[in-house]
Amino acid sequence: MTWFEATRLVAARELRESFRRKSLWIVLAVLFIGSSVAMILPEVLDSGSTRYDVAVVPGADTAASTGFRSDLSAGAATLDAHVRFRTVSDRSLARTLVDQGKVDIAVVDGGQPTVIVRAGENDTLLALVRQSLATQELARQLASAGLDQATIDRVLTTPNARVEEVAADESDRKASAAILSLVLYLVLLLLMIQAANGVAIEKANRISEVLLAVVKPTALFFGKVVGVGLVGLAGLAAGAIPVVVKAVAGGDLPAGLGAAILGGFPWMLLGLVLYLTTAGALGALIERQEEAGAVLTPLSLLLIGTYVLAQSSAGKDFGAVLAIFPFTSPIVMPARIALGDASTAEIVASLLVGIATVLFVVRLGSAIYRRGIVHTGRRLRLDEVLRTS
Amino acid sequence: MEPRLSARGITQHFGERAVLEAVDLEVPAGRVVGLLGPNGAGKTTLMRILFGVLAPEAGTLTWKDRPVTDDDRRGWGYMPQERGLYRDMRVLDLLVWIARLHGLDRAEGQRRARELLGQLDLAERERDKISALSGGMAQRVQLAAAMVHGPDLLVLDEPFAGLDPVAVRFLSDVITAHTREGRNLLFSSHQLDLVEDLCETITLLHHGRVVLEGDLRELKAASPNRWLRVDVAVDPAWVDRATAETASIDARGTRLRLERHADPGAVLDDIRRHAHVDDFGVEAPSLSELFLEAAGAEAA
Repeated sequence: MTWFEATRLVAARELRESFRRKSLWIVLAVLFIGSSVAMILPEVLDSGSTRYDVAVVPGADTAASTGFRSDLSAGAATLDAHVRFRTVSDRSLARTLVDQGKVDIAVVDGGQPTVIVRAGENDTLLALVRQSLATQELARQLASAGLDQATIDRVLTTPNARVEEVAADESDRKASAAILSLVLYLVLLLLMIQAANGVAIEKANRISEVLLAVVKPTALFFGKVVGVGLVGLAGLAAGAIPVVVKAVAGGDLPAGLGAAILGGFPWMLLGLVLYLTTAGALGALIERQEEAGAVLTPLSLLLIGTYVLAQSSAGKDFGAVLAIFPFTSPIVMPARIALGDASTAEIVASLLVGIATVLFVVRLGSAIYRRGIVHTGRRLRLDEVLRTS
Repeated sequence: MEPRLSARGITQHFGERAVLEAVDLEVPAGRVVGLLGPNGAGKTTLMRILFGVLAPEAGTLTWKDRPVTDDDRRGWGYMPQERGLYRDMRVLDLLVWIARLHGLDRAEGQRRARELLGQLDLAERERDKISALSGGMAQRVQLAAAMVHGPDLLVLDEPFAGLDPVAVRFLSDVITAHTREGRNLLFSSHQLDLVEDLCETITLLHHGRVVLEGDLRELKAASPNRWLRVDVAVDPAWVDRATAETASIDARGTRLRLERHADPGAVLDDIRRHAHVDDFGVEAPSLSELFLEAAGAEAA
């Protein structure tokens, strides 16, 4: 049997047994449902434009009233809203409707129009109503001054100004970076605990002795790493599938999310290899599974620190440094891609440093595992292993 | 070419402590070979070396008169002292997986696993998780895991530890059957009296050194020491101290160590003058006594 066949069998067992655990299905379901909700919810919430209910107590000037309605509707349309008018007979009824929240605003038309609105509410609509009333008054005065209707319309036509938005999608990008960092952090944390625990259990109950008699230590080690890593990729896929489906269906993704998932994939793999290899090797140093938490503490702190820094500094200059450092780049680089802050040079440098580190960590992890997995008695210290490896 | 496992000059230290010192071991085909000695003698370390789990500092291992390879080891079966099983795996799945690691395809692995489970009276439990089995059943699954690929050489580390008499008998039958098929078997034990009837060839370790090895019957025959067993409690004053000395007294009677040229009949007559003896016998040394003879005062 070749090394690859042995590694494949070990990885396949890890994968199969993981998928037999209910806890994994629960995690996958949470990721899938959470992602689906995040993709569907904005569509549901944005399914219709905003509707304003406006009560109007008509005045004597029917034409002016019609002009007001038309002008208000046009103004609302520019804000992706529409207005539903309700004609009421008198001011007191209009006031009651506003007070009861049955309409958003009420306009008592006449020579001196009155606008009724609940204090502090519907500011945007109030501004639109005021503008429409002012326009109608201006039109009336222009007509009184002898201008014909065509001239008045031309004078009152608002120039079609071009709107230039700055950082319009920044909040979307920040949200994408934050969510991606959180998912990567959680997946890496859970999987590295699984990898260390798995190795520790095999060592503690001597399954490793049976297996090492049949397969090479590195096949046993990397089979475990690959198996747990594939479980991690399944978790990431569960979170990514709704995003991909929405993208394929032509839906609007939050800015930066698609790019971060696609562009950040190499760093996700990098993170899985680095953290799982290190965690698995550390798991081989201990004698009992209960010690796994203690031996993983430095790695857990590094991961937690990375997550916190990714949330606070991914978009800053310091984030560029973190995106190149190999143990922080798996979380920070996808976040920077989501933010749109990752430069090409930075991406290339991060990949090169990451690949070099993977090669080093794989060699070092193998050496630590080979030495640790056959050691019995007290817990081995890392420096002891490094001295003798 | 005889399928024989030979270890020559195996030496291993853990730190300053010598665990094995120039240990030789022979495991010929068709013989039940016991690697015996008290706890800490180095038995498990030697077995781990045989299977390549540890690399010895010095010494050579040969199988069929050539150096042992990984492929050779893949054809052997090993049951470690601590029971190594994935407790969350189902019995059949575990056995098939181990068979596949040994190079069998899935179908052959399933056939072998089911056959073994039938022999070990575990056929009804093949879908159960290991964690749902009793200790004795898990032990049989462990044995099945060591045998699922039909190993030429079966190595069992302390297989009798913690077993009840029925399980001891069952395991002894499995061991005997394996060697009767002309295959090789090595097991370790610190329970010398328990395995005395099973061993055909022994290697006795003490503090990492071989203190006695060879055919057990021949070793017993070669021993100058003889014991007289009688079914009564013997007062030491009844016998002449120049001919025999009381070695032990228990519920079964008394065991007296005979001096080199003592006449067992004369000693028996001395005893019969004081008590009625129904059952008696002149015996070669037990395994424990052979060990004490070989290891000397250090082991006593």
